Amino acid sequence: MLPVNQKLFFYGVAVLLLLFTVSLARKRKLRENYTLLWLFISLVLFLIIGEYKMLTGLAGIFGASPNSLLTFCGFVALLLLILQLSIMNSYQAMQIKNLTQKISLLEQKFYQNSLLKIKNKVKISS
Amino acid sequence: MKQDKVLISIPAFNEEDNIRLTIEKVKEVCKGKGYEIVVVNDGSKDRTAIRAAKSGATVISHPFNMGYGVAIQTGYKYALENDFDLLVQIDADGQHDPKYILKMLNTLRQPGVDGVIGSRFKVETGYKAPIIRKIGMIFFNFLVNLITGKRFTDCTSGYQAYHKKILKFLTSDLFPCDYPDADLIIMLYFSGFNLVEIPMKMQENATGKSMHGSLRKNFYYVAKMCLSIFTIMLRRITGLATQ
Repeated sequence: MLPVNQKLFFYGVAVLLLLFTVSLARKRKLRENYTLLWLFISLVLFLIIGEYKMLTGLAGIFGASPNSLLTFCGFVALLLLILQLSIMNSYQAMQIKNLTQKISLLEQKFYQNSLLKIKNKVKISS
Repeated sequence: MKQDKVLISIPAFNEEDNIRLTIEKVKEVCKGKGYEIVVVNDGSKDRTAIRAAKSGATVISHPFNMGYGVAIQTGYKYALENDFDLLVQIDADGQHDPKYILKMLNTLRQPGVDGVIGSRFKVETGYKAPIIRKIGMIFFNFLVNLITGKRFTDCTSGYQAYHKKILKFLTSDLFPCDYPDADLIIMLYFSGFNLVEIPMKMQENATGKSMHGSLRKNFYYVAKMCLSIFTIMLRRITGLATQ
């Protein structure tokens, strides 16, 4: 069992995370897919705090203390999250590159067409 | 006989001091041949774009600096979109002598040749590279030769020419935009394209500027290139096509 003061503290952290996530989603600073992810993380936090016995049992299987198991799982989860963000980032970098090239090529085409139009106008007026 | 539509692509970043002279030299060499010169201005902060346009080149400007690899790929995309048959890529800093353009094009027109690389080391030209860069060049040449079984002497050369059948590949997302050198040669080789080298003399960069400038960048370049080659090999071994 977790001591009550610790339990309250962790619940506080979980509630804050939940509220912060909802607030970011409300302000459209966090996309829905990430909002879902962070809501899931805060729910997991609630679950761990409420069902600490489950964690103790699980830790017993591995012969580790609940705290070590929790730290390890948290660390792995964060690593996976960073990896997922890196994948997203790489994909978006590629998209930005392709978009930038497309814009540059279109801009050049637009400029050339404008020049042609001007030349034609000059021809017609003369 | 139908004349080849040729594009001379010049990637440039902050080259206001050299761009005019480079374009003039290219124009002199290609006089009367109707070749188009395109300058890919890679987000320069100076007057590179204005000077290039005033010198008679077509200018494509990136809204911000994207790097050398992206700039040369924009040139390939322009060539593909406008149906050019052949493309020659030349640096804006004056290192590459435009007098070799015609030789490159003649080599490229030979049957079975898809790309031409200008080599500083195919014959002794007296080109002197800084020692760290030289070690890198020797290492990557060795690696490319080992993997391809062909003899490349200058796989970091930016003076290149390509046939239009290779352009589709070069404009795809497979193109390694982050320093496309040795990894690109290996990739093209695995995709069945035939690259040949021709000897040429190159000037050492008068400003001493290089895209591999700092020690940190040099280390990054070596690590990135090794990783890139490794992943290309892995893709090939695991049957993940490169084309």
